[in-house]
Amino acid sequence: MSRDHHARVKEIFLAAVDLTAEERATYLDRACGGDPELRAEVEGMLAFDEADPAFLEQASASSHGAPVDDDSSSRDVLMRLEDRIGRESRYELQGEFARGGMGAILRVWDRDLRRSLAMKVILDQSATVRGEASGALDQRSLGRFLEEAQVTGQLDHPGVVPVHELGLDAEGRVFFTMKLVKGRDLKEIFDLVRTGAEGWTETRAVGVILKVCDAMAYAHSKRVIHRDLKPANIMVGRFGEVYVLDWGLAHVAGQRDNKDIRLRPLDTASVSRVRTDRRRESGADSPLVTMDGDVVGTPAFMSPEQARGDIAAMGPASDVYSLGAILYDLLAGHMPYVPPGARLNAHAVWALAQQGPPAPVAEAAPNAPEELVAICQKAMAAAPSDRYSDMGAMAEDLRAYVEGRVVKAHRTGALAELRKWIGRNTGLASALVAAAVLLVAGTITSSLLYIAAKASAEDARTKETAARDAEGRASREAVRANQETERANNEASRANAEAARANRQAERAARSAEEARKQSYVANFRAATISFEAGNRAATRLALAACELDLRGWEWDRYDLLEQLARRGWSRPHVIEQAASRVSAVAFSPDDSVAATASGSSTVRLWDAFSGEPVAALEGHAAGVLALAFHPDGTRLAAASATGVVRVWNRRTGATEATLEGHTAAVRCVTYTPDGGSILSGSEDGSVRLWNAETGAPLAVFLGHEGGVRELALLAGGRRLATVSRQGVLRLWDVASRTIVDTREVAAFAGGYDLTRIACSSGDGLQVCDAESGAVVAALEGHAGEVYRIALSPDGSRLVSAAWDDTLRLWDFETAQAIAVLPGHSEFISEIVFADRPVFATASWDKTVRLWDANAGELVRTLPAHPKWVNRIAIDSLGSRLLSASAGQVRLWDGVSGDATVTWPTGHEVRALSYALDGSHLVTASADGAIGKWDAAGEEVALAADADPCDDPLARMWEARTGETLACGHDHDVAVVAHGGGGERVAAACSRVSAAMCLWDRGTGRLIGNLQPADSGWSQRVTAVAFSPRGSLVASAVSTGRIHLWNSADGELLRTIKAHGQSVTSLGFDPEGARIVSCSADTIRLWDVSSGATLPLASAPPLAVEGPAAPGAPTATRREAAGVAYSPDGSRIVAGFVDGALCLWDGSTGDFLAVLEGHQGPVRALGFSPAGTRIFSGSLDNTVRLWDAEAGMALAVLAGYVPEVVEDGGTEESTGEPPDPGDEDVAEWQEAMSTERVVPIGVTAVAFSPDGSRIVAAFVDGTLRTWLAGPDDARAAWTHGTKQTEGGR
Amino acid sequence: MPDRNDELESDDLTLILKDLASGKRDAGDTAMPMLVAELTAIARGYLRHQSPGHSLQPSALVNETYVKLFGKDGLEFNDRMHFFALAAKAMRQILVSHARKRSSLRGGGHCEQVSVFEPPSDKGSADVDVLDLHAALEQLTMLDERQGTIVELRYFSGLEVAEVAEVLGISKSTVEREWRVARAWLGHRMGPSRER
Repeated sequence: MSRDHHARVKEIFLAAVDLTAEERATYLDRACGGDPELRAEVEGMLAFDEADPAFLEQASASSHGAPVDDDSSSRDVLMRLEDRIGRESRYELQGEFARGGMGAILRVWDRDLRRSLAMKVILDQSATVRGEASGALDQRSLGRFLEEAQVTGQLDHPGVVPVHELGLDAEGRVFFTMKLVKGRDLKEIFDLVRTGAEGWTETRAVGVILKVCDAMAYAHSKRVIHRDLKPANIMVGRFGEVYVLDWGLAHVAGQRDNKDIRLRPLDTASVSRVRTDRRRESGADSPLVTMDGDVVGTPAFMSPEQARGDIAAMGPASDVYSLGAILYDLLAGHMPYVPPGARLNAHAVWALAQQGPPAPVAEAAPNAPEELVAICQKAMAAAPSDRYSDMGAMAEDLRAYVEGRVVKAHRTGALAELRKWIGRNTGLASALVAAAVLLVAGTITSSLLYIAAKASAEDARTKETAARDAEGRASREAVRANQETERANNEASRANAEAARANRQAERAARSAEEARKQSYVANFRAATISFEAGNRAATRLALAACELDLRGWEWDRYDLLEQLARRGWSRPHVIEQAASRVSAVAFSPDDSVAATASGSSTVRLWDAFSGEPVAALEGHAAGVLALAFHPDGTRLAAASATGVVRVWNRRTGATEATLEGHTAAVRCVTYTPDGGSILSGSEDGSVRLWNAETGAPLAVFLGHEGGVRELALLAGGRRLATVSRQGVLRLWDVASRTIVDTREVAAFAGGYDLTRIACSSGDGLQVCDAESGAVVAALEGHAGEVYRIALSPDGSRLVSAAWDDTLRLWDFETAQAIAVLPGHSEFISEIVFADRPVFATASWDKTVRLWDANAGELVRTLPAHPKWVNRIAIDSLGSRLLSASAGQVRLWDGVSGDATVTWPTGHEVRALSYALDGSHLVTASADGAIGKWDAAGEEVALAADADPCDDPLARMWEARTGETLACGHDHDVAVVAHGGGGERVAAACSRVSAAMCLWDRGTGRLIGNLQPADSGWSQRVTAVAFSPRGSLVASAVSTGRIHLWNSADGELLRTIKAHGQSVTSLGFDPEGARIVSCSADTIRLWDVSSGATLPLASAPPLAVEGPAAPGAPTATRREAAGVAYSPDGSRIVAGFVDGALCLWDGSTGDFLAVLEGHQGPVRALGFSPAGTRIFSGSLDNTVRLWDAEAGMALAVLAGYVPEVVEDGGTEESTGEPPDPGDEDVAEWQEAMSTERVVPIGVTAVAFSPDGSRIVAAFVDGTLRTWLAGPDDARAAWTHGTKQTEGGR
Repeated sequence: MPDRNDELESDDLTLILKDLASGKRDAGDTAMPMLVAELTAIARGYLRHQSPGHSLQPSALVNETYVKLFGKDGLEFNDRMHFFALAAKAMRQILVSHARKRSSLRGGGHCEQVSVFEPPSDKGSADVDVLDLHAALEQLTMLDERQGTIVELRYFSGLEVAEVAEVLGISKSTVEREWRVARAWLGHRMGPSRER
């Protein structure tokens, strides 16, 4: 099939197409000569043309600019309606009621049912179904019209006007009919209330509003919000029926909003080409219109979010606001924002509405009943979350008012608060309650009485008013009034008694003013964390400063550090270039000292990478520079221009050293070979050229691409070259012979000089290919759309991909396994760059740049607020500096190296963590017997290999500081390790085999003994070990529940305590060494060391029982303590439980103090900070929590990283879109989605560094994570005024 | 998704389109991904609500994108035409890859093809198989580039004959002739697989 042939076909076809059948036959005989194929083809085409002349035609596409709705559904409806045309019209026009933005409401007579109805039609007469698409067919308004009919029709409630019929008249115009409501709108009713005519009172009007509430509650339950509630849209019939009208602006939650109800400001009210029939609107007297062009009556009843145009924030609460505004109108006698007598047009009101809330209803309606004022205030709260959460709640309060009961919104006064406070009468709450109550107690009594009195007086007045009502509710009301007065009296006396109790508690509070102070610290600190999370650094700083100096602890230091880092790092970038045209390339020099930028101008600029000061301007190019490349040693810079010339400058002198000429079109990509001796350039002319980098002499040309070359990369140690053309064709070349090894189509590609594999994306998905042969080696499954951007880390361990499924994914490139789906960017990703450290940055058209940790894909930072979409970024080798280009502006970002969180994998599940005594290193002991030693940066420090093997290799103990082996011992997993006596004695117990424990003297390296109780049997094992503080004793607990006390100098057994009935899970000495606290699955006990006797320890409060308790069932006590510890000063004991709670006791008296709630999973690790002011706990809920040790207040939550849930096998439809119903693959898809592999999470061990500056937690997946509260050089002095130091600081 | 400042974006695109109009060909590179992203977002909204037997017009999506990007003010005719020309290519790209993805979901081939479009003409033509059309269109473009472009502009962007003539700089009658030939050729080529 050739072009000439096709041209002939065309000629013959065109000639033949207009001929008659006979003429055609003769013509074809002649024209096609003896070529039967030719004739067959032409005939086939002719036949097709006749049979299907509308093939590929699309109607109504010509109205460019006319927005088309999801018009398939509109069309469907209309098609169906069309079928019913042909009958004689059922309705007779009687008159017109109103004419609105896009429609009119007519009064018609229904001939069939002999009744009058209201009929709504679309105003634009040309909105026909069959009419020619002359640009006037407004699909969108059609869609809206139908939606109004459908929404109204589906709301089956007495408060919503029923829709009867949706139809098309003979001319093809759409209409729907509704019940004809005779009555008055609420505006008129309010006028009647003001004059008292026809028996209308305020209370009766409230009753109407209540009915509106009910109707709206129904609509909201059907997920429809009205969005245009105002008195004009509420109709009251003669018998009190209330209707909510005009659902034309309503929105069904979850469906596309095909209306734009935002208000259109005056000065941009230019004629929109969207509408064809719009008249120009100008001038302050012009009506206020929405973006769609609908006239808006008055914005006085609009919620603030609607007035602002924040349509997305609208919800049922917006309707609540509007109803509140209607109530305002009733109470105040005028609309919000429009004082009586004022004449403000709609635009002016809108301006007022945008500035802030209206005059408070309390002021505007000074004589209004307090309860109604309270209801109105709550409904009209500025923030949607402060309003009634739904219409039902508002209806409840309105009903309460109308029926003479107490209104909730009004009852948030002192009385209710006091009740709540007193109710919380457990533990410490009472103490602080008392403190707070102390402050208010003086006023409570009197104000309560006052309120009670006022309430009763108010009620009486209201009842009198109601009694005058023609409706005759007087007698009922009077009875209720009496009841109310009595109730008020009772409440007053109760309040008296409570005030007396409060006074007693206030005395106790005077003794614990400290609690209040602490409470205020907690409140301030929490405010600081909230502000910090919200990104409000000024508020964070203020809140931190407000925290009392001597109460600040680790958590305060941490947020202080975070705030400083946020302030310093990655914020306030230098803006280093404003170019007139788009920035085409940015790069850091290899030594990270200089940044280079190139744009459409021909000059390349160099900047100091630290200060952002300009360093040099490299001239010489004749046209815009498109690409940059630094020489590996950083001394030279090559830039490729649109003319096809590549220029090489000496970076320091700025002199041109070489000019590479030869390309005949713009050069798009340029790179140095790693030895710096050659340069490769790819150009629009389709060729890739190799040059001598010093002389500029051409060395070789790679020809073969048809379109321009847009990307190139050297692979496999320089043996292979990959080039990608604009058409998306990838060619893999053998460099030496300059022959093509493989060709494939790609949408994106990435490779590296040292890597033997490359990644490419195409219609077949994201694949890993061998760099030598190009053969596909593995597939990276997971994306649901085509991948358009790929980046590889320099070491080839990580791959990041962005695809049209709107996701960004991180992969382990070596194993071709998915690691994570990275959340955050919402738009097209324009670039992904890796640093030499495991950090990478992504730039997106959402105007942000994000920094990620490449190990697990954690988001480290978001750099926001670029002027426009970010199209180019570069990162320095450490990942601490970044260049971003957006709209001709280049920014230089400086991050502070040294993060506040350090994470590293250990490879084992860590069971025990401990810091070396000087805090320089961390030692981990793992379930599988591995022992690791780590420095602060997470680098593993080698533990000295054992020179001489032990004859009894039962365990190995290393000196944590130097790594030297102490001794050999068990060879099974080490379950428990303890240092004691200043580190001189070490005890280690093996987990499985026996109840034996090894005890060493570290100083001499001598094994003191293999301590084993005489009666220990096979199945016993040591479950816990602890040294007394002075090191003279060591206690071991066994699985039988016994505790043995040994002399640590000679290993002599001193005492055995039958502590528990079950395995002892944990034990600890008090600082004096006089007591031991131990816990097991059933109890926690306190023992006297010298006598072995039990000491009093209050039992923990029982677990809260949900639901009705089964009769006779014992109340559940807290069971299964996982760990227990004494504070360093002996004043506290804390224990952690399987239900996630911790309990706190007084360490000397044994009194129970508090339950620390917060963890969602079993507590696995706990302890005290070195200074004893904080408790830390780690749990299987993947968090570490910090508590105040004195009172148990929660202070901080440190969370671990939860990895992405990975599905097993199958192509993942990650957008979550199910295939069409009726598809036989649905079952298969559902099955695939359900085989999710759950990744275990949880904290297994936690440790506090001895200097109190950092917390380390080990997670189930083997990762260790450190949270810092001080800079890396943790021993640097902190100056915080008179702050108490903690630990070694 | 955060609210986008449409004005800002349409400015960029306008500039790019002006570049295109004045012959700077590489401006298309920048515009393409942007357009594809925009169209994809809208298309996804449509396709999500699709029920079996349902369809949509590609030109409707293009129109919607046009309005979304330039709604209030619109573009100069010249730039607008370039927009639609670009959008036609973008639209085609999206639909083809969508069709491919769906056909691969069903386990290969498009013998049980997924019908994405229904020309809304009341005469009720059979549905068009995107992948078939795409393949056939590729072939046609190789044989006669102008015919291929005309089909792309008309079908994927919904440009009128007059507008196509304007874009390509030829007469309306030429456009109509070429369009007729192209359609007949495609229809004949796509043959029986066209029918559902």
